[in-house]
Amino acid sequence: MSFINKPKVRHPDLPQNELGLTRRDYEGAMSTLCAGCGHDSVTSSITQAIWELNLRPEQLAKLSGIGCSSKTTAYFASGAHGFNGVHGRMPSIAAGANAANKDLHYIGVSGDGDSLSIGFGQFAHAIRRNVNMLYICENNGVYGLTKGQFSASADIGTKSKKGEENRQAPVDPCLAALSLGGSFIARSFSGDREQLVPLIKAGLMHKGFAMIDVISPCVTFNDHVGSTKSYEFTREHYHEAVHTDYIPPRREITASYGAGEVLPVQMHDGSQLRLRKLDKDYDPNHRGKAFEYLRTKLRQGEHVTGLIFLAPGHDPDMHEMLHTTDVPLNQVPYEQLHPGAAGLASILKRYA
Amino acid sequence: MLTKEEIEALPKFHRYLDKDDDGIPSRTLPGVSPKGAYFTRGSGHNQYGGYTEDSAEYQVVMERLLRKFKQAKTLVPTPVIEATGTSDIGLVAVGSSRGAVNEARDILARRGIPIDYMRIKAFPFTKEVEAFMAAHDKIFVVEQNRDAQLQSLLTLETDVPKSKLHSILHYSGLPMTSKEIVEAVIAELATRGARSCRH
Repeated sequence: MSFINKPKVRHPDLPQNELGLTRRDYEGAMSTLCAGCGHDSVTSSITQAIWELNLRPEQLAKLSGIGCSSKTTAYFASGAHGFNGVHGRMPSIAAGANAANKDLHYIGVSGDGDSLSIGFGQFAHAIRRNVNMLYICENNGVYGLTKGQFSASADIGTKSKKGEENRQAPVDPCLAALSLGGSFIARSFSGDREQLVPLIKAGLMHKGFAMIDVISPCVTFNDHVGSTKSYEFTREHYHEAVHTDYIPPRREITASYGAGEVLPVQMHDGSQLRLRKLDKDYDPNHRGKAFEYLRTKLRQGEHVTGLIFLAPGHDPDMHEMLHTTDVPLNQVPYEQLHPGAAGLASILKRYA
Repeated sequence: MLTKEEIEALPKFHRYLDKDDDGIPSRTLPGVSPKGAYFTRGSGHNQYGGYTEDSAEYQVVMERLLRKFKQAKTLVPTPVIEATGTSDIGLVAVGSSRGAVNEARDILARRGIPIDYMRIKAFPFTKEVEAFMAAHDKIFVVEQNRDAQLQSLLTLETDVPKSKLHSILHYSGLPMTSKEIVEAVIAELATRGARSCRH
């Protein structure tokens, strides 16, 4: 593996956010992925989103498992703690870290192999627990790190680089998340930054589990004719159902929309999402209809993108369900968290 | 664990750098300072936390871990010792058999066999463990596995002669009872008694 360090030189006129930080302050190490990899575009969109959100880098915790996708947490926000965990086990680490300190913003980056094969159970239960985090699945339909075998998200009929056809039914992360009770479910494309950046911002600000499935083509093993996750195929079969604009708190709303086409959604931090329906028959607040729409389009070979589903109202997150303290648990004094043998004995006395 | 002020005062923070030679580098918590951030990577790292495949750099980290392990002997919880002050018979166990051991000691004491008890709470073993082993002539090692794992560690890590140790193992799949300990202790002491009669 080769490494070069990023030059520290920066242009003096780089725009700054409200904290006086430039986009460069949110970057990480130099990527070692293949040139043209979709994952690097996702990294760039994440960097842009957290810069625009004015988050202090140390307010963010980056978590990942194993795979090409999971390398990307090293490539943004070098001022944030990062944890590269065991294959498919990122959701457990995220849930544990979130249990200890609920005040941070958690961003987990996984892939179709890490999330839909070895870590499918973990993925499912993080959704059920409604861990307050943004979960990005960089989905390319192949195992890139092990030289291009079909992953669980490979569509029926898609062809491998050697020409072999996939016969097994795919696992669609959005359909899975819908059926598991996910409250924020989106799909995007690594090549569509205009769509992806607001989704990342909304996902980070959403209180609860936010999942974005990002189709992120593998230039080395899955970008040929016959693949349904190549750049060309994705661009041609790209169906944006709902466009999302993220409006930060205190920002005047300037965009104009035609009556009835915009659905405003208030976020807990005071920001607002404006969902613009591009397909008038689509209802992003109806779980059943979203499921049916997605499934129908999937059968037609279309990739539905945008904020596919946003639960109406508020679903309690992990901490709300567990009735934890308002103070993050890592700030509660040890003696209070751990009353010891004497404390246990006094509790047991109540049942004597 | 470094505070915000301590992190800010450093020229640069390195997660695995052993500054005071005790093998235990400083740690930082997320959310405190961007200067204290580090990436826990899934691959090999050098003492500065950077990626490496260099054997010499890797060895530095491995040797630091060895120092940390040795240092841990002075920092981990000491064993809980319940001594009668009169017995030369000891019993060593870990917490999972505590209830059965307590009951067995009561029963044995009533039968005129007082036994000292050491409940080990941590590994590597502290000097208190070594001292208890040296102070008793006969030591029962009670544990709930087939392979006498605790006894193996005691023979490897302390100076206790193997001949002093007698294993009481329980691996029936159900929790241990005091009866097993009482019976094993009495049977072993009876053999020893019979042996010394012969000589």
